[in-house]
Amino acid sequence: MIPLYFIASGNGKECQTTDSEVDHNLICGPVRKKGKVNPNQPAASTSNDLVNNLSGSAERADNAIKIDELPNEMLLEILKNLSKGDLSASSLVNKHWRQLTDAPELKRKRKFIISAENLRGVYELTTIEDLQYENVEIRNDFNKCGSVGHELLFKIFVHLGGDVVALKLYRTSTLSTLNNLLPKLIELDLTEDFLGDNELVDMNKFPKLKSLQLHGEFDTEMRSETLLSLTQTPGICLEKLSLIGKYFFDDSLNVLATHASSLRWLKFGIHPGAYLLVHGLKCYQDAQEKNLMLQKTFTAFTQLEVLDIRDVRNAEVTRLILNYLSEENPLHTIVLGAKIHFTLLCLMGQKWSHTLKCLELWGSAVSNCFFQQLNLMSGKLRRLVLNSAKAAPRYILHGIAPETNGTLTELKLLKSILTGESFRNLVERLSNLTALNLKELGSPITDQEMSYIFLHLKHLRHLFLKPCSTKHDIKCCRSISNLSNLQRLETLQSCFCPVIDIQILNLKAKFTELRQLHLHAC
Amino acid sequence: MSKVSSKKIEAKQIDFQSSDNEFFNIDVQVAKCSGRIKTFLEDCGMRSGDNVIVPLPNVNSEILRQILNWANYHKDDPQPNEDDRDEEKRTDDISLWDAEFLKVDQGILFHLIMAANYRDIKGLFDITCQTVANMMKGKTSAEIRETFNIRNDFTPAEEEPIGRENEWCEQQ
Repeated sequence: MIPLYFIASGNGKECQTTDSEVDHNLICGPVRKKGKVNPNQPAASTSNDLVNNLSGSAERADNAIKIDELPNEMLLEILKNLSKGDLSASSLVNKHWRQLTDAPELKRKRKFIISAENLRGVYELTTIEDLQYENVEIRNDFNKCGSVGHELLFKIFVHLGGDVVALKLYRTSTLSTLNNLLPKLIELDLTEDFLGDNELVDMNKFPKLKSLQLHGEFDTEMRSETLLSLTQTPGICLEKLSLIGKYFFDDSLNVLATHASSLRWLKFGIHPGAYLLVHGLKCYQDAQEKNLMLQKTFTAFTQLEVLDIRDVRNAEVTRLILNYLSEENPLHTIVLGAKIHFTLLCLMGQKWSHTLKCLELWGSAVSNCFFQQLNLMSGKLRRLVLNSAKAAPRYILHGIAPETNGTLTELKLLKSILTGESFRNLVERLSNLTALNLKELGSPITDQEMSYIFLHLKHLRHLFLKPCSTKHDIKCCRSISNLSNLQRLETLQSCFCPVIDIQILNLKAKFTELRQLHLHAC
Repeated sequence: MSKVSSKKIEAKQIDFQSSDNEFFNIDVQVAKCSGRIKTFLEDCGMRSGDNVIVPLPNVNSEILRQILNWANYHKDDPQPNEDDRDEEKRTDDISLWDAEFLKVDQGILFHLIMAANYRDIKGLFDITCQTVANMMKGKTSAEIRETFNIRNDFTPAEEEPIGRENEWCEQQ
């Protein structure tokens, strides 16, 4: 057998080139065949043997590089992991980093906020400096500024608008002022209010729009001109849509149907009045029509990855939606607000067992069958929100972690009752949890439960505890060594008690990564 | 094209040669954690028994040993699904083993980033970048300079307008 020898460059003396390898000159340089291994070369080795008598080894110690010597593209990859706050600190490191943090892909993270207070200042700044921001919010209080405000805003956006890809604002009229100044707009977050300057916004002005959050804050059912225009813009294919508020049922569904084939992310809520129609309490024929509309709309989806219908509080509508959605949709996140019948869980398990990773069930679930079914699914879930008001602890345990469950990293329990041994079993089996939210747990959290958290959840980064229901729930967290297990904690939301106890005990545990601390008085 | 590239049977082991001419004999499976090497091997299609030596002129033995150590530990990890690309990037969780593995000097960490990028080792690239980013989190600009030994080349006058502009940025 003739060995192949791929060599980086030159050195042709000992190598014979054959015609068959020329095509392989792809990555490692010319490909050569070598008759025999040079006896001067050390044997191939995976050992830790550093002794190496070749000249190259001498260079090793001196080639340490500094962060500033990394190519810009890699520094950018590093900076992409930072939050807005950390990015603004980074921008002040030196001139080079200042330039880096101005890179378009990072700038998007920094949000530029325009409010009634700074409106004039921002305007003056745009006249002397070339401001470039991709992410802009126009605060609600801007609407107090009246027509002078709109004039200034218009002038600001003559400078700013060309770069803006994400915009958040609180009035349709503000948007119509800026209509022609936002050619690059991709994400629009718009809250329409009741006082309704419900003006027609021509969505055709935003040909690149991919994401729309439309929240109507009004008390009665409203027709939204913005919604209507979304059904008449053939150029726009929305991928993300959040539609919540008392919009007309038919209008909402029409928008969904128009964009069904491109939507990958959907948050959808309908107002309670529409349930009556679906339920047929108002008029049988009307209800039939609504159901047909639901069917027509939701069977048209094919790309959906995230479905958040927690604001559809009606079990029947929830069932219909999940029923009509095809299993072709690669759903990885489903968020439901209505009460969950176990057959619904079965349905989700059958349709999306291969893709589903995050399941949030905010409506109550009590039946034993429910937990039997959850048991079949929980091994694949990464995030779970569960409302299990009256379920026995052993069912909860059986549903979430019949044995060790290393997949689940985020858990929120609502109203569940878990104490002592069953609590211990749960956290013991979920040792990979990084986020645990017990703010709305049904049972009190005492010293005992805390000690289990400290002992077993070593990867925990975010911990949310509820305010103590009595002063004596958590007297102290006695085990000093156990406490220090939570050193990777980044967020702690709690009442004072455990924190005071940490001080009292004068612990040397240092939470070096703690970045957010929310405290309640109890 | 050539007779060799049409063969599907692959060699079980290959040799890497570091820039300082140390040789590392490793499983092909481990080597394939590098996107570039994987493509390369697939394009070549070696026969089993072939003695393949891949020189890596940009990587010294110390870094190569670290990379192989990492690749060996992760060789059975599921390949990232192409469809997962657009899913929100989950970078806040570095496994315990990886965290321990990355407790190295900054110099080595930066070398790992360069090598992982050049050789297209996605998993290693992500965790090394994340680790460096973690070293900046929550720090002031002065502390970041201190951490990475960077010189401040701003004059006080230059720092001023930046601070002013940032007033209107959300802090978190």
